[in-house]
Parts: sequence; C-alpha cells; structure tokens
Amino acid sequence: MLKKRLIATLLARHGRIVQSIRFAHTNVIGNAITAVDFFNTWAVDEIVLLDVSRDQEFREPFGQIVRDLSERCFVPLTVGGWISRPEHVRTFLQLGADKVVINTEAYRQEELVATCARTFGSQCIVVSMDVRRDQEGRYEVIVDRGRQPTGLDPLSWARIVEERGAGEIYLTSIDQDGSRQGFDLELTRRVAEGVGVPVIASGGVGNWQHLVDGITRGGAAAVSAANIFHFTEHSTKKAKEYMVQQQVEMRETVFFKNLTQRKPKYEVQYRV
Amino acid sequence: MEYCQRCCYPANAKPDIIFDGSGVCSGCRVIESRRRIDWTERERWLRDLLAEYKARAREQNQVYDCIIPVSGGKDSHYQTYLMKEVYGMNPLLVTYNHLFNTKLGMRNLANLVKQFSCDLLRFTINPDSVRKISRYMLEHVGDITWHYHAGIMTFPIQIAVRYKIPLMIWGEEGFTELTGMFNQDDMVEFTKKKRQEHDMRGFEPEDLLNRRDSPFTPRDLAAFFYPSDEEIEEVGLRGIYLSNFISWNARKQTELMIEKYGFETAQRRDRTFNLYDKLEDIHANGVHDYLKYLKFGYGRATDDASTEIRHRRMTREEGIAMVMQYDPVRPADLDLYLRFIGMTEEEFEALVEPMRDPSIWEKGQDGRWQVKDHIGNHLQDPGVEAARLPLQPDCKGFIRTPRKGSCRDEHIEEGESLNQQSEYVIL
Repeated sequence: MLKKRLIATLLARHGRIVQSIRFAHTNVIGNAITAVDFFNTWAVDEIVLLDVSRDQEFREPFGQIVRDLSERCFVPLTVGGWISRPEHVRTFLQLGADKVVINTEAYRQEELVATCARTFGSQCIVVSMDVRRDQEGRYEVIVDRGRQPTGLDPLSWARIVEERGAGEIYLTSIDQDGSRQGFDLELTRRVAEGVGVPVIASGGVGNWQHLVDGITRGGAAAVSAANIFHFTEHSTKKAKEYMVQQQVEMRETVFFKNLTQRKPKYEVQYRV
Repeated sequence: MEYCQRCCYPANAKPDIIFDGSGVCSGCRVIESRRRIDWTERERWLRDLLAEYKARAREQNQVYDCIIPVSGGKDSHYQTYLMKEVYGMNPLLVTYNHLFNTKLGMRNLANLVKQFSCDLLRFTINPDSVRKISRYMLEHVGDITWHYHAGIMTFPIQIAVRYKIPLMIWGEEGFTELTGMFNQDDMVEFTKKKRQEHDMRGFEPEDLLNRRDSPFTPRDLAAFFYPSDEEIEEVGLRGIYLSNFISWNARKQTELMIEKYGFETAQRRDRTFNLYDKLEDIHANGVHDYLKYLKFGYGRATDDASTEIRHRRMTREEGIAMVMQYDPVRPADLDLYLRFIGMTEEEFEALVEPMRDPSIWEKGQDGRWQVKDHIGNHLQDPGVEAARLPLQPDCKGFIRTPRKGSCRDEHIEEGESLNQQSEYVIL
C-alpha cells in the first residue's frame, strides 16, 4: 500500500505568499523561502508552489524563487502558474522543480498535456482542476483562476487529461477554498474513483480531521492545504501525527534539520 | 503610489498589505470583520484553554501556569490584568531589557509589578553588545532596534523551556493589527517561522555568526538563540494571542488601565499624536520609526491614524492631517542615538540611502531626497466615500495623565520632555 502524502501548497503572488478565500487573495503571509524552510523541517511530504500573480510579468523572478527554493527543499517540489508552452515546463525543471502543474492551457491547447508528457514523462505532469458548483448544484470545471467556465464535468475532464498523459490530478474546490469547512468530499470521491492516477485533494482544510477525511472518505492519494499550515508551530508535523493516529499510513515524522547555510537578505522592494 | 481608500496605508506598507476590489486594505478588513464574530463564544474558548493549563500546572506542581512577555507598556498591563484579575492565573512576567529605556517606561513597569503583584524575570543585555548589534543591523537592514525584537521574541521562549511553562500569553498579533497579515478566524499562534521572517527580518543569530563580516561572538547574541524544535515539542509550548479571543481595542483597554491601575501616559510625542503606545523605549517612536519613513515614506502616525480610523474614532481627513504633520518629523532622540553609536548624521543618512524604496523616494534636482507622492494627494480618491465608516458618537481625545515623580527622575531637569533624555536608563 502506498503511503498517503501531506502537501503544503504555497500561493505566490509576486513572490509573496498570500492566503486565498474562494480564489480571492485576502492576506499576505510573507515570503516563499521561509515557508519552505519551516515546512521542510516540520516533515511535510511535498510542496506545491503556484505563481498566482495576476499577469505573466512575474514569470522570471518567480523562476529565480524556484531555483533558490530547490537548493533548500528536500521534498518533491511541484511548481505551476502561467505554464502555456513545453519550454515553460523545461525551464521549471531546469530550475529545480520536480513536477509542474498545468491548468488553464491544458484546456485551451488540446496538445499541450500530451506533448509535455511525451517530452518530460508523465511522472512530472500534474494537471490542476478548479471546480465550482453552478446554481443547479452541478459541478463545473473553471479555468483562468476561477474566471472562465468551461461547461466541462470534472470527471469527464479528469479522464481526458489522464488519457493525454497527466501523471496526477490536483483537484481544488473553489467553493470550499479558504472556507475551513473541509474538502468537497463528494467531488473528491467522484474524481478519485473514476481515474487511475493519484488525485490530490485541495481547498477547505480547517482542522486536521479534514485531512483524514480527504483520504478515508474522499479517496484521495494526497491531501493539501494552503492557509492553515501558517498558523501554528510545527503545523505540518502535528497534522501528520494526527493522521497517523487516525490509522492513515504516512511517512515517518521527525524534525528534519536543514544544515545548509541560510543566506537571508533584506528586501526593500517587493509588492504583491 | 496607491493608498487604502479607508485608512492611510500606502501599497508599499510593511509587512505586506493587499487591497481588495474596493481599494480597501487587508488591515481595515480584518478590524471590520470583528463585528461579525461571536466574542462570547471566543471568550469561552479562552476560559476553557486557560482552565486546562491551570489544571496541568497544578498536576505537575508548577508554580506558574503561564508566561506573559512584558515591557511594562499598555498591553502588558492589560494582558496581566486579564490573566491575574479576570481569569485567576498565576503568570510569570518576563522582560527582555533592551537598554533604550525611558524613565516613564520604567515607572510603568514598576507600576505593573506593584499593581498586579506579579513575579518578574528580567534579562538585561550588556551595552557593548547592544552597540555592536545595533550598528551592524543599521548597516545591513536599516534597523537600530533589531536586538530588541529579537530579544522580546526569543528570551521569553528560552525561559518557557527552562521553567517548563507550556503557555505563553501575547497581547495582539501586531502584524494583523496593522496590515492584516492573518484573518480573525485563523486563530494564529506564535511560531518561530513568523518570528524569524518578520520580527527578526529573516536573521537568526546563527546566520549572523556565519557571515563573513560578522563582528559577533555567541555571547553578544545569547538571548536570541531559539530553543530547539525538540525542546519546544517536549514542553508542548504554545503562544496564544489574546486578540483572537477578545475584540481587541488597544485604546479602550489602555483607558481602563489608566483609570483603574495607574498607567501613566506620555506628555507629548515627537512623531505621533498617540500618547499611549511604545512609551518605554526611547527609539521605537523615534529613530526606529523615522527609519521606516526614510525607507518607505510613511511612519508611526500612519499606523496610529489608520488604527483610529478603523475603530471609527477619526475621519480619514483628520487622519491624513495627522500623517502630514507627524510622519516627516526628525526625531529628537536621533542625537542621543548617534552619540551612543559614534556616528554623524551624514553617515547615518548615507547608510539609509540604498534602502530607500524607489517606488516612493526620488532624488530631486538639488540632490535631496523627496517623496514622489503622499497620502495628502489622495484625499478624494474615487473609492473613499464608498469605503467610509460612520464615526462613533462621543469620540474623545487621548487622555494625558499627570506626570508622576520618582526617585529615578532626580537628575532630570524640570520640564524635560520624554524625548530629550540625555542618557538611557539602563536598569
């Protein structure tokens, strides 16, 4: 039996980590390097870093952040945001990302996922899906940071991208995002049962039990949260210990000491 | 520069601020959200949490059931009042003495210990290390009081681990109060992560020792080494913020402390109209804050005016007038600091030059620095009316208490104001 994973997701807007509620950025927490350092020490299994800047202008500095992070990050580092060409994937992989996340352009360009999977291997292509319920309560895939409805049903879309070679699906409920009410378990279960690749549940974690529910009731292979891990000491380690207590198979939790010398620098010019 | 449509904050505020679709900042939104919170329920959470730690202390035959890190200021008074008088806790008060003390601050610290009859543990750092650290951090991050934040955020934690006291009581989560770093529902607690990134400006003492140009020995930085993760875990240490459990209103709370417990206010301030905050440290509202102005083009009056506006005690227009009057003022304590550190004002300004944020500062024709924009140009921004909050009825000004005498003051000449102290009060 594969172990389940706990993932910390970092939303980077112009390089600063923001909190998100239903895809609106409400607060600014700080910088990515500090967050990765601490989550690494606190036994997290994987880190997802998404460039949620409002335009593509920040692409290059974001790449530098990825490079700096990959020097200090000892768990798989998955990176995404504004990926629209195979070269973008290549660049991120060269800068030290282990996997990349594609969302909007997977929908807009029929060939993109297949081309990237052929070129770089399915093991590093994660397709991210943002899902919202419409007024009738039907699930619908939304692209372009929650702005563009597609009319697609999440399960059909998940099967299409799996077919094209996606190695994992990162599934976010827009309605639950930042709600602290737990994952959308029905949505998670439907997609997780309907595809053969691992599904990562995201959006809505308000306590550690929600993480357990995502695995045991949602059928996810991995669970992710963006906001909650910033609030308490040793957060990701404590979350995993709770999950183990609830009989979820997890990687061992100890404090992982990063002995690489930190090189803090004082930044004056930055702005979300 | 973009400014909040409700308060006075610029978009380059530190720590980071974010504006929503109405042009209102995250700090304003957090304070506003307090009206939608069930504070009765939150107060019950606090009561239960404290009861649990009190019981634990009793089981383990511990004398103290919590630690309150205190400076002796208004929040220290209020935190101690809540713990001791309202919830019947037995706190150990812990102070990191940064040396830049005012006599008024020391009178208030003594008042705190006397009024609430608490035990206080105080660590005093030696002046030579302060001089070294202050100078180095001024040169590298433009902060003369780095040692002070580092000490306040580390020494009490060292004590918690040494005495095995698992609960720390902080007052407000300051970054939330000013720029809205966290939401009220996040129930954020004290973490090494937040301390390192924001209070310590990214620098742990280990990082400072490792630098090629490091002038430090471990002794200089003794109070800043954070206990290991294992030690923290073993004690089960948590630091809670009272501002998550009670509807935090610093000014109202201070006025209660003035009326009931003899808290003494300032007589006048150089750089702000607020007579209650940061009284015990001669530089917090002086040089330290002036550096914020030199870097980012705004200062403490912006913080204070924004707080008043959010609590509906001041209109945005009144706030802006305060900001225009106080933010650019050169503080009187700059001379005292320059003497202490052995530096001229020209050297001081040259050090700050590369740290000026180019989004707000530019060099004029005459080679002097000037701001490109200021809040005064944004009185009638398009979103201001829609974001406006109605004023509370019967807003009063700040209370000014009579100045108390004390034996500490004997060598001060009559009429000397807070900022014209000729030396630091070391103990």
